[in-house]
Amino acid sequence: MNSLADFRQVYLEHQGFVRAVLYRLVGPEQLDDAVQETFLKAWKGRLNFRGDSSVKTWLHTIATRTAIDSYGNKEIPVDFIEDQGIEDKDPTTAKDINKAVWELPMEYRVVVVSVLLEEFSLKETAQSLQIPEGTVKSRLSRGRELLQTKLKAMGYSYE
Amino acid sequence: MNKLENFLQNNKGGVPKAPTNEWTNILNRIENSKSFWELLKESLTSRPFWLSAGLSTACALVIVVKLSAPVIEDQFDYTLSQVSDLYSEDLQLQDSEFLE
Repeated sequence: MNSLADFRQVYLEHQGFVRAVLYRLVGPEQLDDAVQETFLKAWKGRLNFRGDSSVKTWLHTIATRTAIDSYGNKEIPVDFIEDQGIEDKDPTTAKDINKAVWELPMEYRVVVVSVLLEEFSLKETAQSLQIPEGTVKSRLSRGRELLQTKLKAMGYSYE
Repeated sequence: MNKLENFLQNNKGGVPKAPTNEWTNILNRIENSKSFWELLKESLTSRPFWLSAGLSTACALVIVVKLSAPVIEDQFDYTLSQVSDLYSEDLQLQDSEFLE
């Protein structure tokens, strides 16, 4: 991954995944900037990547770190989601899910996005976030409760 | 998978598409974030650098040779004339000795 040509391949293969993670973590307004920052950090840290984890897990770590460090305290303007040109089966429900996720405190949001939306395992999430698996479990439990409360308040019943 | 996860997976929706110039923007940020040492290392290892350095050295050598050539010639002439004088003096001396 030393040359820019190799790095471009990594970008092409994983930019969709990185974009999806960051969209759910930082929202649409900061998205493009966060994606660029993530790949810039990946390029600068490429020599430290030893292949102990997959490239996807490595990029997930950088993306979540970027979201926490650079955008953790920024509020996500939810009105912005009206004009994204995304074609969803059920756009209202998709928007409400995004809104509920974006309203979670960042420490719960990263775990909820990783496990419930991006389907990483608890172990992979702990590895990505560099926290113990037990912490991931407890944050997931609390995050799940908060998310359910918000979705129920919006009128969703899935039980 | 429990019901909340099912609900999220089935309804989570899409993600805005990447701008077409995203890779170019990333390249620009990579370029702008380079440190002084990275830029120095790049310029020292680049082909244009060694090409220009080689050409500059060759030009400098040509100039030095051109400038120093008349000096060498002068020195050579001077030495020859001096030798010639000495030689003629020596001959005259020998002639006089012979005549005696």
